[in-house]
Amino acid sequence: MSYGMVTVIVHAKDEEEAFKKGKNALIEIAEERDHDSYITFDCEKERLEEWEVDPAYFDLPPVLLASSSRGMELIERGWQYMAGIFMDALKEVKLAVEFLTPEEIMEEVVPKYLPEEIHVSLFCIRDRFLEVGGEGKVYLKELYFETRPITSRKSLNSALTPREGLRTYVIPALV
Amino acid sequence: MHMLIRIIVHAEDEKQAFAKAENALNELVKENHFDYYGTFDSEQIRDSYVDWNYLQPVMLVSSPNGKHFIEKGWENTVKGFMEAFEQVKLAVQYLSLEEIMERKFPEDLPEDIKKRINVLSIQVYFDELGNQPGHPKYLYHDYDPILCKTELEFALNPKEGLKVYVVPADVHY
Repeated sequence: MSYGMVTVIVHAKDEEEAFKKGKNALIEIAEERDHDSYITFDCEKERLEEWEVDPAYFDLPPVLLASSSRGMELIERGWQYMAGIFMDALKEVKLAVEFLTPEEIMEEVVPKYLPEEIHVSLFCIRDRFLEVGGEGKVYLKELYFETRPITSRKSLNSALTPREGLRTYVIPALV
Repeated sequence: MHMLIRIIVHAEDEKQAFAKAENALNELVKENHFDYYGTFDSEQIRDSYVDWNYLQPVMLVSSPNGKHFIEKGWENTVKGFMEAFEQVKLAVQYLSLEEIMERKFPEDLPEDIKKRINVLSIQVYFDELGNQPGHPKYLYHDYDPILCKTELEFALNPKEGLKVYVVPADVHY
């Protein structure tokens, strides 16, 4: 089983409340991935090593303000990861719709006369459609607003919009 | 929403076929592809499908009713695929990659095209062309969705002395 880094955005009064909200969200996120557990950055260094966390993240605090430099770095990392996968898959889907018939997509048969680079990138194309739609591809997501994966710039902006009397925090974790 | 799916199973007899289909349906619900299901041994389910009064809880795929039921399932699968394909084709033709991601129309898009693209649900249509169980996959081989004609033929092919059965189920998604 492989673990992935996730960043959960929450709105809370203080760090303590933010951490509690983040952990509640992580229980659901882990369940969705069929994992029994997750770790947050309040654990021992040995545990982080066990979970094969990149050493560059060993000193991450368990809760950060979204506006702090490392908070912004985590959000940007999650966003780039998701947007990268989405755009790559969408480019291949566009090629499929332009070059293949519906029957060829349905059967996942790529005609041999297509140029090699198109031929290769359309292999297992029905999997790529799911990466655009996002359904069932939970392991491709790294950035969450509470339990909801962030899938567009609009949803990211909405998650980062301050709520009255609350501050915006991020909780990094491995799931 | 509700839909009527077909679970194709290979089994020694009807009893084993029904048990295998129930396992597959439980798995599909457990994995959140459907919310819940009902089978045709329930009077309530039979009553809610009056147009399908020939359906039995378990049927041989080679029986006239079984054959007809599978054919209808395949027709619906193709119809659902084509509807989703048309939406995806329009989206990649008229929207930029960013607009698809943000589910947003470009400002200069002609009104007639706007009416034809369901932009707010566009990502659902991409999912529907994917290889996951769920709408609009109406046929299953155990719990695997049947995605194409080759897979359907494979599922209907008898193996190792077992008979091929189909179990209808109402599912909510």
